[in-house]
Amino acid sequence: MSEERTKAGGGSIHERIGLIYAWALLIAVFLVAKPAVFGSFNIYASILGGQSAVVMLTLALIVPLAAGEFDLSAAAMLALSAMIVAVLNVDMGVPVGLAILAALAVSIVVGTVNALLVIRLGIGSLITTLGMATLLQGIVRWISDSRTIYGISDGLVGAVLKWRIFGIAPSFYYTLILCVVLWYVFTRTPFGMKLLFVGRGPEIARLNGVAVDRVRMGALISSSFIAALAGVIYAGTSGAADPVSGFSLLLPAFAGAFLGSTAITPGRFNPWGSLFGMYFLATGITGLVTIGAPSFVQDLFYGGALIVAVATAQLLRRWRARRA
Amino acid sequence: MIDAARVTSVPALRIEGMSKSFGSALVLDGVSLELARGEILGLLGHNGSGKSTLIKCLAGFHRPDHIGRIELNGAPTTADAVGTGRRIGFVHQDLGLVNGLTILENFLLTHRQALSGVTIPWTQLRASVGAALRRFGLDFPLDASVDGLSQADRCLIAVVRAVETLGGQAQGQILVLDEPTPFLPAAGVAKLFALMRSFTGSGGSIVFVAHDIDEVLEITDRIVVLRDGRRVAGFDTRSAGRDAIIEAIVGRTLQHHHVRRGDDVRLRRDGLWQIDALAGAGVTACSFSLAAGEILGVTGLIGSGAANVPELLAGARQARSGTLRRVGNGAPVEIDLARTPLRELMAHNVFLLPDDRLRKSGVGELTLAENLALPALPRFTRALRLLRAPLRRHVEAVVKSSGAVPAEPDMPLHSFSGGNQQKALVAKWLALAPRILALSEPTQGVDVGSRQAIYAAIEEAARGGAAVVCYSSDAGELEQICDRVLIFSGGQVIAELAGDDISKDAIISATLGTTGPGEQDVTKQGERA
Repeated sequence: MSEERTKAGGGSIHERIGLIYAWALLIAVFLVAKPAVFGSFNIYASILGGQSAVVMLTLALIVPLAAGEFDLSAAAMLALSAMIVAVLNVDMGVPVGLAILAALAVSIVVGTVNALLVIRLGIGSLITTLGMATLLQGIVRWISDSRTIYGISDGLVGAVLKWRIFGIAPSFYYTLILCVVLWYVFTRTPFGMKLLFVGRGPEIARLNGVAVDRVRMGALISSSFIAALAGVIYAGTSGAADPVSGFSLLLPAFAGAFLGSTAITPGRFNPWGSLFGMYFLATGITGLVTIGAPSFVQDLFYGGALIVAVATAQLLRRWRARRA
Repeated sequence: MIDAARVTSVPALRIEGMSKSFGSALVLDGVSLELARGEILGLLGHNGSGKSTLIKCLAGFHRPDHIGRIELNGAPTTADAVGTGRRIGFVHQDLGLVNGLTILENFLLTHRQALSGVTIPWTQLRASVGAALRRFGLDFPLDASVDGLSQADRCLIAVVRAVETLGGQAQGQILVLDEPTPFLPAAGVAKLFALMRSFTGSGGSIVFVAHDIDEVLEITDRIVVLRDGRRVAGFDTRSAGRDAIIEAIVGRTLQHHHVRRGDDVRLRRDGLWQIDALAGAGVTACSFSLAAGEILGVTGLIGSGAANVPELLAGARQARSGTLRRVGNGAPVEIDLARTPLRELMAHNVFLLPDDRLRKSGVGELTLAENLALPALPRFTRALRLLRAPLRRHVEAVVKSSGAVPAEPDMPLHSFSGGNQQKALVAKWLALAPRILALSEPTQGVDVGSRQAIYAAIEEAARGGAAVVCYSSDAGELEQICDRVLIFSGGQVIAELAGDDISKDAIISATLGTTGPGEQDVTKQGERA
């Protein structure tokens, strides 16, 4: 009881790692269903490496979410970033390194525009970034002539996908590094604490000397920038950029972020929780595909997992509040 | 039906022996009240007199612990029935109008009949609202948004709406107007009074709660004064004298426990601050000095502007004008309060403890440690990195010095009692060596024990060389801690009490006694800004 009360955002150790239990349970179910596939390491390596772009996108979203803002343009930014890399590298022959820098530069511009609209004009981030998402989608179609562009430089594909460390593609390690960086920022820097206060009580933050607008701006630029990084990984994973599929990652990424906020530091958006949350969802989807479930089951799983997790967290919180 | 002759003699509302306590504090002690048909009854009393508790009991917001008898129009009833049955119309100070909605929609909000059907009878509603307004000689475009209306018009609409919730007829009905006037210009007050007279002229009765004695003298028929939860006086307005009313409100307080007065040893250090031409948020133009080591109280009635002085001074609200200068020894400092945000004032060690603890001071669901660390972040940052161990030591020292219990920095703030929250939040600023400490209602919602601890902490800040400005609506509090008290009215300082002149009575009298009719105009206008 006392240890439960002493940790804010708290919960017992079991609540903190409940998501990992659920993950283990899920794997156990698939092991029973398809022992040949799920008994081998390859399937896990492919989930960890192959799904890194959407995990990164989840990590992008939690920065503004912690500050109480939404970035609905993040998935579009991912798609745009992938497409910029493809168009510059494949169509225009720009070295892939420069193409990546260009994509990242564009993301900073996009994030800044989002932030200025939200802060200077006071438009809600939900509306601003919804508009921005559609706008970026248009740009993606425009610069790609709505084609899928194949043949991105092997340099990128290699760095993201080709070689293996402990049997897992490098993209997984990039995601891990990003997660560590965000964990550091969230828990070890003043910016992380300010994010938390701006998200929970912007007026309280302001009256304690926090430059609330600057924090919001930083959050929206960060999400755009991380989404662009995810776009680079996305392009590298397939060696190509298509004008459609990136956008569909938005809702799964949000699901991962909210799912993640029920774990590790329950009640707070946190990088490790998001990483586990998104990999949990990715495992479920991959598993369902592997055992031959019809595609609508994937939607049932995404939606169901999110609702169950968030409802459970809410019930636990109430139950604790009643006992306290 | 009861016969007509009897109806007129039966009071609209009769309460006998209503009591209510919160914990061990008895806030209403056997209060009795009678409201005649067609009468306007003034209900007066200073903060803590039990006035608002009485109103909240009638509104069904609190349930009285004991009530001898309650009758509506001669018929015995229960407090619950009065509270839940919408037998009395209420207009509170905030008026309860929803911005962004039209006048008609605002009427709909409180119209139970119109909301109970499947569809809303718009045509019927429009007709009845129009008729209600016309009955009081008012004419507003019903489809206009309430946002654009003047404060006076909003008030009139709120009153008519309250009458509508009672069925639209004045006869035999009761309205409670809970301090509707402090934010109205004089012309608006006149319009409201005309509306009130028209309501009572048609057989309705009104309980009028106000602080402004002149208004009460002008509009009421009788006056009841509450003090310390008891009914201490009743007056017939025509024969009541101002002084007698003030005396009834203030009472004869015998205890005299001022602790720090004439303690001028502390008035030194890096000297004196001068605040000039401070204006904005209801303060029209005020200048005053503030010595390091001094505790300066600011107070006044609602709408006097005093409540906003701490936030203006600390940069939490943008002032329209004002400079803050250091005129004593040490490096000269001059700050333009109209341009300087709170964050920059904080760099000069000007700190604010706002009044609304969990909305302005600290985030309830974050930990005590996190809340205490927030303003100290700049001091514990090196190259974007948080110096966690030193920050942790700082936070633990703050918790320890605050005396907050339990001394568990990792518990969420809202799991502490109000008093312990406030002790810690005061200590948070003290630990950062304030030069100016601006406090607003520092002991609101704080238990008696913690209150003394907070006073001690404020004293300590002053002894350490801080210049303390404290707004409080509690005169007893100001008496206990202040070296000087400024009394505000109409956005200006109208009186200053210092040294032995400071007493609870003197403070209350000064806030009440000086709003003569001549000044009323200024008072009312000032607040609109």
